[in-house]
Amino acid sequence: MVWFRAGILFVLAGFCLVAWAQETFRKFTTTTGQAFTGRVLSYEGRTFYFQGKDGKLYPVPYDRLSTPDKSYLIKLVQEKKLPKGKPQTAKPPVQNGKKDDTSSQTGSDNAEKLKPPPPPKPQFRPGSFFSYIPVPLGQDPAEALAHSSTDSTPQEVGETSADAGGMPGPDEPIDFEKHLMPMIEESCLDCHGAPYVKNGRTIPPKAGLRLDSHEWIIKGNLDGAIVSPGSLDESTLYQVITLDPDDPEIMPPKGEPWDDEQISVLERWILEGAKPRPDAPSLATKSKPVESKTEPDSSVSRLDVIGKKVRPASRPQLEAAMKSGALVSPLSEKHSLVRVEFSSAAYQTTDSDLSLFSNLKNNISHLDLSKTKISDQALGTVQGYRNLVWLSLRNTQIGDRGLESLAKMEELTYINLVGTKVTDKGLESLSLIKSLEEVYLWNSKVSEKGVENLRNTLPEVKIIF
Amino acid sequence: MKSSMSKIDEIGRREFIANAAKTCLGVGLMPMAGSYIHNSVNALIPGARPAKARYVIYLNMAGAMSHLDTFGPKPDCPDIQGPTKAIKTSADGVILSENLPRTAQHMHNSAVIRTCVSSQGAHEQASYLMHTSYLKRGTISHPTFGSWVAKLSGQINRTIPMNVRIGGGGNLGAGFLESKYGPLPIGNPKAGLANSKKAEYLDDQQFGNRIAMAQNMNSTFTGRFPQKKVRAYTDLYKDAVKLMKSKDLQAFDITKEPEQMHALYGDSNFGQGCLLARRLIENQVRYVEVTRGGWDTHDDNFNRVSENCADMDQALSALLMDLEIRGLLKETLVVLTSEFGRTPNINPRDGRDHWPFCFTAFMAGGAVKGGTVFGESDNTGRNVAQGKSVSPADLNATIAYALGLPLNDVQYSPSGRPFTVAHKGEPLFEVLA
Ligand code: HEC
Repeated sequence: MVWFRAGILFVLAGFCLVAWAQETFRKFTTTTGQAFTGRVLSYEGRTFYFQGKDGKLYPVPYDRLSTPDKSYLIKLVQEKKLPKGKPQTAKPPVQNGKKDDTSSQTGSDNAEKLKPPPPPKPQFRPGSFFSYIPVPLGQDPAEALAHSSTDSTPQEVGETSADAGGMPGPDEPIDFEKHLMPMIEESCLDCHGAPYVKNGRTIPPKAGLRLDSHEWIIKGNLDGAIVSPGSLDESTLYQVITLDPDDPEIMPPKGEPWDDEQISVLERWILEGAKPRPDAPSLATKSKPVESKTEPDSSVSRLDVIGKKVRPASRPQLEAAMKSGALVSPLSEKHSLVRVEFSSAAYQTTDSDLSLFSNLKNNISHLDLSKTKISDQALGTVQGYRNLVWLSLRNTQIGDRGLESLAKMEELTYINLVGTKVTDKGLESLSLIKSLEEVYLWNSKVSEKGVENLRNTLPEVKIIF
Repeated sequence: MKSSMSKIDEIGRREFIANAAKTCLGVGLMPMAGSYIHNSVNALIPGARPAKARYVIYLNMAGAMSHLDTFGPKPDCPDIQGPTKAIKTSADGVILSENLPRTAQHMHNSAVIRTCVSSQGAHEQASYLMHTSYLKRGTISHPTFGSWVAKLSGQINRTIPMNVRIGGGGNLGAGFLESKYGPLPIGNPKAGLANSKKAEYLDDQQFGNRIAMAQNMNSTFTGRFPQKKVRAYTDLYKDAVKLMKSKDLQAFDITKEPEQMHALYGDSNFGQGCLLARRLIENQVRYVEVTRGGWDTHDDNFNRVSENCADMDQALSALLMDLEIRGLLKETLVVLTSEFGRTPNINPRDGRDHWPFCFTAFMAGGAVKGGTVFGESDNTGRNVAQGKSVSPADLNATIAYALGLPLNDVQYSPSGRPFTVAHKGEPLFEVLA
């Protein structure tokens, strides 16, 4: 094992090259905006090999490169200007050669292992968030800490994902290291890797969030946990990846958003409990029952029908009506109907306030006049609100005279006469309103007999007395 | 006591207090000043559908009510049910526990969700999630659901606050929304506003800021009366309340209710809180939360739950009846739930412990499909067996939908991160009419 790791380090240190020299030096840019100067030597699988100005060999996965660079390379390949295979080197990397022979991996995984040497290990203030090594639950802290001192170096990350890649089968439990980590490495670690030292300063990861191991992902950042095992809704990690591509918070912020297949891996991992490794192969994923979602519709259909007949109220019209002190609000985004509520200044509202609604009279479907100072005369005005469906006159001075004006209403379904002066005589006017569904008469002046009569003429109506 | 305020002329004093009250409490006292006019149509974004409900009374059973001994009995599983029996209700085939005989008579107007699931099993975190739809996180202070309702229902300088919290229930406020949308806390319903404490979520710094705002509004006053000499918040609050008491805010004064009303709701704090809630709804307060604690029954669950239920059942059924005769139930959504449920297993102390994996919520009102039971737990009462899991966000989305609020209207936190009224919750259409 030690011998193996030493081999990789040796490769990482770089080596001399046999010069290829067909292509000229050129500036390349990665998807994350980093630029380097180099010339392309050859390619293998989806990895291109570049020679830097320093003469060293740099393998770069095709997907990391910007679109212009990609077309440049494609052109070279199509014109057969580039040799296939790893460039010849003076000292070929023995370990990698071996590994390649036995694995079916593409070149890009191989390339992951050929990262530049690790930067110096940063020193942290005692107490800093990053100076705590996360210890997984159920593990002996001493053992975990000993493990972690060598574990968090970049090579190791490359190595753990050596047998990575590919998508899990539909009924295969998600293996964090094998299925998820490679995707995170690919699209997140540029910004959410381990802190590193640059020009003597420690550069923390973005949002103070490390994603370079299972433990760190579970630990989250100072804002809190980003994964809530079993719940996608509560898992910030899932949410930021599945945001709308235009959303400023989507991760990764630049480059391609994760595709459905990648998202499903993350989703399954979280639903399966966000474990560092799968339980046992037999414990397959539980499938979520699909729910059919139907919005309840029938009871608002009256409003839908009326709403379509009426011309929408204009902004100035609504604003003029608001001068009455009423809250005038559109009923819904689909309707031209409005609801008028004199809730704020009810006790100062008088008949004259209704005059401000003359331009809106066909739009008013709900009118709350409860506790206002309006008189019977006002209902003469309300009579003109042809599309009125809902009317509350609760705790007003309204009496029988007023109700006479309402006898011809055609859409009225709800009327609240609680605490009014209405008597049995008023109920006769009500009995003419055929659209009624609910009548509230508690604490008014009606008698049991009067209500009985109303019940007989309007047997379908709910009458609360 | 002669207050230093009396040094200045009466009009200046009244104005100052009125302004302070407006900024501190979100309460406008002086509609005569013209500010009560709703002058911005822009503030109102209609939802996808017409609102079925305009008001919410949210009954918060703090400490986590035992769902098995209230709204989700499992009479066929005696070992988890313990001594509690189930009874029939006014809705065909719907059962409740024997602790709720009066509420049972309202089941035909009500719905029970039996598959509530929370991801949090500790009181504070779960209550936060229930109230905000978001997980409690380090940096963001999320608005309570009531604050969202106040914001999205289009409050513009109204004469009374739109969001009131009765009987404690935590100190969450408007979060990153303007503080005027936060709940006006009323500790003791019997005392109305008079004995209210300073809102706990207003720290001194915030209060200072608000005084500063009040100052701007009334520079002549403050010019003569430097801020540091302004009396403590509580005194100011009392003055403001006195003013309110005069006329505008009789809504808060339950002593105006006839004796038989008090009796109907019961003399308990919760009963009187519900009575106040009804009074407030009558005065178009949009969102009232009433908290009843004492549900953390790790010990002696069965006796304690049945004692708690005695006054809860009385108050809830009184509330539903009272709203109905006034014609208000149609437009009011009454919701009763807790931050999570309690274990099906009965512990050695005859108690039940925390159980967030499957519990119940009760809803009543015109927006609700009466007599509905949504979902069912498995035979051990432990997990959701039928129907989907309903998260706190789903429950809040259901309420928001009934209120006709725009579920996808985005409000931004100060750091520019987007938030919505019920997070990503989906309305449970199955329980809505
Ligand atoms: C280009 C750099 C960059 C890349 C690549 C990137 N992130 Fe981020 N990430 C950021 C920044 C910057 C923030 C802070 C955003 C903020 O403050 O709202 C952030 C924040 C986050 C947060 C915290 C959000 C919150 O609401 O608390 C998560 C989780 C996250 N990133 C996950 C990822 C994942 C997963 C990937 C890979 C798919 C990724 N990021 C790739 C730059 C990046």
